[in-house]
Amino acid sequence: MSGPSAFGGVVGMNRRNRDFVLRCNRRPAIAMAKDKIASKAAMAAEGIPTPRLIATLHAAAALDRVYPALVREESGFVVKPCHGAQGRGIQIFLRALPEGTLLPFHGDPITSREFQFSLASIISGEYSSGVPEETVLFEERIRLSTAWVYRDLPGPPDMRVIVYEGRAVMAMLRVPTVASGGRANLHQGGVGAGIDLAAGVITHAVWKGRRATHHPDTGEELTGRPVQHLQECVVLAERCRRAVPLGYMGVDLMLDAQAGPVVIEVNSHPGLAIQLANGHGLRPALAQVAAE
Amino acid sequence: MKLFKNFGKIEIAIALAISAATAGVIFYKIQVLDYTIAAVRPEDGYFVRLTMNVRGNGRPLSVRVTLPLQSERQSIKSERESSGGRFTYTISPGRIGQWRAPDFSGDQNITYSFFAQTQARTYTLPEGVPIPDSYSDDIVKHLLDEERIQSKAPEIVAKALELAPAGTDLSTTLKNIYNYCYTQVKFLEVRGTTDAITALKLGEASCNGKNRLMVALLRARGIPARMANGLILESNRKRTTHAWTIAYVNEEWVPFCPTNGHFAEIPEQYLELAKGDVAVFTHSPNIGFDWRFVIQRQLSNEEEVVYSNISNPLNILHAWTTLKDYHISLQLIMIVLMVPIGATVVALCRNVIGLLPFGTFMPALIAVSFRDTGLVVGAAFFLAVILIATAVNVALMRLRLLHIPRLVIIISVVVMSITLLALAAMRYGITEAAGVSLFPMAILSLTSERFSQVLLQEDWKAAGKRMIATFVVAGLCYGVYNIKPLQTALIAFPELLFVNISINLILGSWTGMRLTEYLRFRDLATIDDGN
Repeated sequence: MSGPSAFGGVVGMNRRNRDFVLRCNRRPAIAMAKDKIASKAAMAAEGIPTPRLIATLHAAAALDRVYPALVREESGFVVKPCHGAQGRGIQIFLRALPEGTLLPFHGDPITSREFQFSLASIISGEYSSGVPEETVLFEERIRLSTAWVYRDLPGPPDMRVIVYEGRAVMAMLRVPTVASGGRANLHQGGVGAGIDLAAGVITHAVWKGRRATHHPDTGEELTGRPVQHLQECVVLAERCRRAVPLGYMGVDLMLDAQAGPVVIEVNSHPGLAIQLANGHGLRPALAQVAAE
Repeated sequence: MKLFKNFGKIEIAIALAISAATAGVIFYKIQVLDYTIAAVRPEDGYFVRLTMNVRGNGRPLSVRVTLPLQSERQSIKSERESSGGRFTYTISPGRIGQWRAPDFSGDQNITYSFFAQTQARTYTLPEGVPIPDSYSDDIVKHLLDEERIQSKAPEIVAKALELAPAGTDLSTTLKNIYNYCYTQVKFLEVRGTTDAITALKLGEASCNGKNRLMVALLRARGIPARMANGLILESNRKRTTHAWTIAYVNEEWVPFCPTNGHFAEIPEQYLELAKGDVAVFTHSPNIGFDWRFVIQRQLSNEEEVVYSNISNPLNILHAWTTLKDYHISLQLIMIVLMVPIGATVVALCRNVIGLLPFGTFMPALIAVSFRDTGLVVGAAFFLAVILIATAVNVALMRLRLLHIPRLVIIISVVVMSITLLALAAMRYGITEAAGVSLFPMAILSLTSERFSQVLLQEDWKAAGKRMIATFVVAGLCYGVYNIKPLQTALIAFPELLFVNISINLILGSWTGMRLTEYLRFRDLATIDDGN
């Protein structure tokens, strides 16, 4: 009943927490992973490419100081709470205009006053539970490479790699849909496409918890499609362990048109949905790494 | 063996060791220290504590109290008395408690407490039976004219004949006189004594005046009757007693309350302290004297369990109650002891079933607040308050208010909704709604906040699912809190919480799949399932 292949080898929440997160991830490393500034610095020290940090902000009133730097970002920028989880509080902007109007990736232009307000709510901890004084990060926006992009996607796809003891054990591409509002998270309606790490192709995909073979918006076939830059991504993901010493981690990557794969963030408690995307459980792969 | 593969061996060993040690302590308490567990059979009732404050001036002092009577409808247990060793306490055969001191000066609290279990009774009156002509000697005295029950006074006799002319049968006479006293004599909430004639003349009287008039009218028509003096049991502090009438009908004493409208019936809450027109309290002249009752509804055996083991060492709860001068009720201690059990229920729901309620232990705390309202009323209120608060919250989120001030507004809305909803519900006769005042405001506000967040970040379906999960888990906690044998076992043996710890040591080491995960990952289970 409980061997590594029981119930499709699925790892449940209890097992993930006790046998992997609690066993392999030390508290300081978890804290580092949850702190985007700290983990970014650690990855930079290891030579791992991450989106360039434009500025950080501790008080919304200081936006004026940062604003000129934002205006200089011609390909746009991304706003993130330093301790945000599950993509909460992240805003993407195409431009900040010199006279004080900002063009978001989704929705209508906003004034810098409105922008300042949304920064204040990030700083007050709206999106970061348990953090009384939050910091805002401004990062460059990834210049979308066409390599992973399917026709007319409403947002950029990203790759999630599960790294156990420094070895990539499972990966998926998260592809946004109209239903997900351009976001890639699976529970928000993104498509999860499981990748065969050895063959480098998409073998299986899910949408809204059920098996899918085609992208729901574009109708493009997902399974059988090769994933470009996969080896670079796997190498980068495995190297992340040297920067953020988590024994069990989820590494999120995006593909920049010029810089190639970049690590967006690392996750100390990666979700279980990747198993659905791949159509099989994590346990056999984890057991193999443990046995080596 | 495979069954245990998903558990931690060390954790199971520690859990078993702790449980065994706990069982050992309990066994030792029962076998060696003679803890009684016979009392571990819960019964509802009221714990009543009378506190009398006396101030003497050096002269002999005596206080007399009519103690609650044992009868077939009321039983009195666990009577305790304390006067700081400064008075001699005696009980006379007529159940009159007396505290005496040959010379007493200064100030002293005398307390007398007991556990009362009472029953409601309804009587059927014989129809068409005439009023008897004669009674036995011991009954006849209940027909006599008294100083304040002037049954032979002409105006009383005239009124009685007007209400029930000669030849009227027994039950019609009772009905007419009762109806007159209930509906025509206005009730005045005043302290002090009113006699029957005054009550008749004024057409209004206090409770004792109404009953003196009723007794006088009954006696005037040849029906033996007497006053009863007592206490209405409701969880409260009281400085008033209550009087009602008892009439001799068909060789049976039948109660009537013309104040609260009980005809030939007595509600559960009526506790009889004195037979006849007798004052509950009498004391020596020229002393300072004050009294109050504190009444709490509870299970008899909580008291029993703690006090029956009073002389035993290791009775931690008794140590606590005495340390705190007994101002903390065992009910409160019991709730405190129960919360970890509720937390275990939440843990089982999360880690074994896979339900995801709001907050970590929110359902366990929500269930505590259902205690005063009951599950149905509590849950209905909870839902109503959360929906109102969420509507306001979503509107406020559009305004882009900052987090903490927005939460303060939500708390204010929650408090206002609770108050108004409770008032409205009580108007429609839902008395349980009164318990809503103790609803934890912060928990409601935070639940509403979480609900709003999920609503905005995901959708109403996800938020609704988690809300249902929250209610289901809170309902389970409520059910567990109300398992009476568990309550009393915890009060008798609080060390059972170590077993609770053991359960969570085992649960915390369990890495099996949650039930909901079998559903979520059912498509992946094709290979090797069941091997």
